[in-house]
Amino acid sequence: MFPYLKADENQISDIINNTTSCQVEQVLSSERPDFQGFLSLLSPVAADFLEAMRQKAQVNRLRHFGRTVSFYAPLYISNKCVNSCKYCDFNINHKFDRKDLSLDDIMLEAQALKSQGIDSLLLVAGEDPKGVTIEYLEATAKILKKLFSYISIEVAPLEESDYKRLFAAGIDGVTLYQETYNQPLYADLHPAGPKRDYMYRLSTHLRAGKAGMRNLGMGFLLGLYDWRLEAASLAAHSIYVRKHCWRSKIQYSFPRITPIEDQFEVPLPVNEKELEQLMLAFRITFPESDMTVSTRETAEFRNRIIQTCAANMSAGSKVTPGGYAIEADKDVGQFSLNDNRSVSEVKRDIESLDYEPVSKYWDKLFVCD
Amino acid sequence: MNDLKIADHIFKNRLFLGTGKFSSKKALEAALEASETELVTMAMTRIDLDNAQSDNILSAIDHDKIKVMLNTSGARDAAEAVRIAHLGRSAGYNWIKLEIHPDPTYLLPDPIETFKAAETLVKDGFIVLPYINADPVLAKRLEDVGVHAVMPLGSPIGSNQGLQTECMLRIIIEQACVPVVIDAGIGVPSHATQALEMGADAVLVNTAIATAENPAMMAEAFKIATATGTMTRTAGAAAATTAANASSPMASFSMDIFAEGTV
Repeated sequence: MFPYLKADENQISDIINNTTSCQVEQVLSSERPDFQGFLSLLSPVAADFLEAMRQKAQVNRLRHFGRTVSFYAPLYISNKCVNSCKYCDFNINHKFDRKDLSLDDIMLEAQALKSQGIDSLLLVAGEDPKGVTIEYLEATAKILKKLFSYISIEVAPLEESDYKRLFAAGIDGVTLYQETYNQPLYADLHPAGPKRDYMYRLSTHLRAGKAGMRNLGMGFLLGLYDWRLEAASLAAHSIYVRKHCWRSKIQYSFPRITPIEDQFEVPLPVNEKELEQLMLAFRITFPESDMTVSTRETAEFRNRIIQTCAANMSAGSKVTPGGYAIEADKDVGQFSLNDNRSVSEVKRDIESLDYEPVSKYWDKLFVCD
Repeated sequence: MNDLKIADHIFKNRLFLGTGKFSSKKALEAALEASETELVTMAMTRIDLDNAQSDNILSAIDHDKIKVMLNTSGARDAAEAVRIAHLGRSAGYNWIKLEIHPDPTYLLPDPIETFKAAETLVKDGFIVLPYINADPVLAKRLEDVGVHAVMPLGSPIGSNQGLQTECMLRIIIEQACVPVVIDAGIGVPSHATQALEMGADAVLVNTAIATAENPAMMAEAFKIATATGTMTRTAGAAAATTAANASSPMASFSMDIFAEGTV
């Protein structure tokens, strides 16, 4: 569990599992659930209230985000990695042709994305202290900021001073998943490499927030452990981060593990209905927080979830360095994708649902220099 | 709930008292005793530091049992407040209720001057508790400069109107990483209970007690009301872990979910 929570795992589990339908109804008729109310929305009993939860979530979604859907695309700049996360296809023990992109390559990729109508980027790299250095990230940010309004990064945890440099170079947000909040499991899944340090990872958002980052992306990997307990931890973690980094906005992601190679058996898979319940619980409890849904999920699911929960989504994603332009035909990525619509197809579908796709939702004029 | 900690000081009682407006030293002493308060505020403008032995307010206080916090009221800007604080320090008082209200009618605190003074006083090593409007952003900004608690108002000082600023107070409480003491506007004991139940860490009461027909009895009523709010919180926390008989908690959404000392 998130270590600063007052209750332990058994107590949280008891609350979730002993929730009654009367309590779920009570929470759904309240203006805003408290933490216990949130736990009851995660309960097995609440699964029978999915339609009522959809309605309540949709009210929040529309009130806070209107009928707009904002877009981003991930840009993988390196798949070199020194970690050995058992569930990840970038695992150091997997033998495949790895690469990190030069600044010229990055620019080619970026232009390909830009031509598809993407204006917001998520910059992704594995943990590679020799290749993916702060100088490399800084230089990347500076050239990309000429093309894109908004850039966030999903790379290994950094020091506050490094986040400050990246913020000054044009990075607006930091996304980092705890993977699992269960500490013994975390130790087991990360047998080697710097990522083994659970607490350092856990405090990443505080460092990024203190450095000025506007958006802090949080989440865990769905499928590693009991999703209900992980969700309780994520909620507590985000409340904690929000208390300390009150100038930063939280964005939740709910990535389900979708490994490409058969080398990892997902211990506790989360099905689509459970994923929806989880996202609804967060939208009902945290009406003003951002929520995103990636192309790991199917087009049908994404079309549904953007109407009740997520107001942000990726589109046309490639999850390998060079996937957009350099080796567009050869996409062997970090995980497998289930929505292969192009950006324009996604936008067309969104419009047909009577929502407005928004590509630009930030401006680069906010960069310091 | 554990005991309240502000700076390095532990308080068992979450009722703080202002010492103005009492009819006599005797009435003040009786109220202090009945309230069992462990912290009082004193306006520098009211006390005579040169003649502490004979001063009505100072001599009414048992300094072994009660922490004294000097109030800068009367100051109209940061410079005046800082000067008052340093005067107080020379007399041995390091805790400052930072109160700057240039407006003599409603006595509303000046956020800009309060912020400036807080920065200076924290740097100068004071324990600083600023009295502010119920402004969540100001509360966080003050927290960032290192104040030791924030004291938002429930309604205009002395008005006895209760927690009119409730929706802003709730945000302050939800976001705060320092104790929140609700100050001003608390008119009857049930307001104090409500403040504690809402998640406030303490309340500061003056007018409602000092101007009651029987200040000592009112002080005791406030003591009980504050204890009731505190007890409700503790009982709520217990209910949160025994789901079988949990009812929907009245508490604010994020309160009390973290282990003591971790936020």
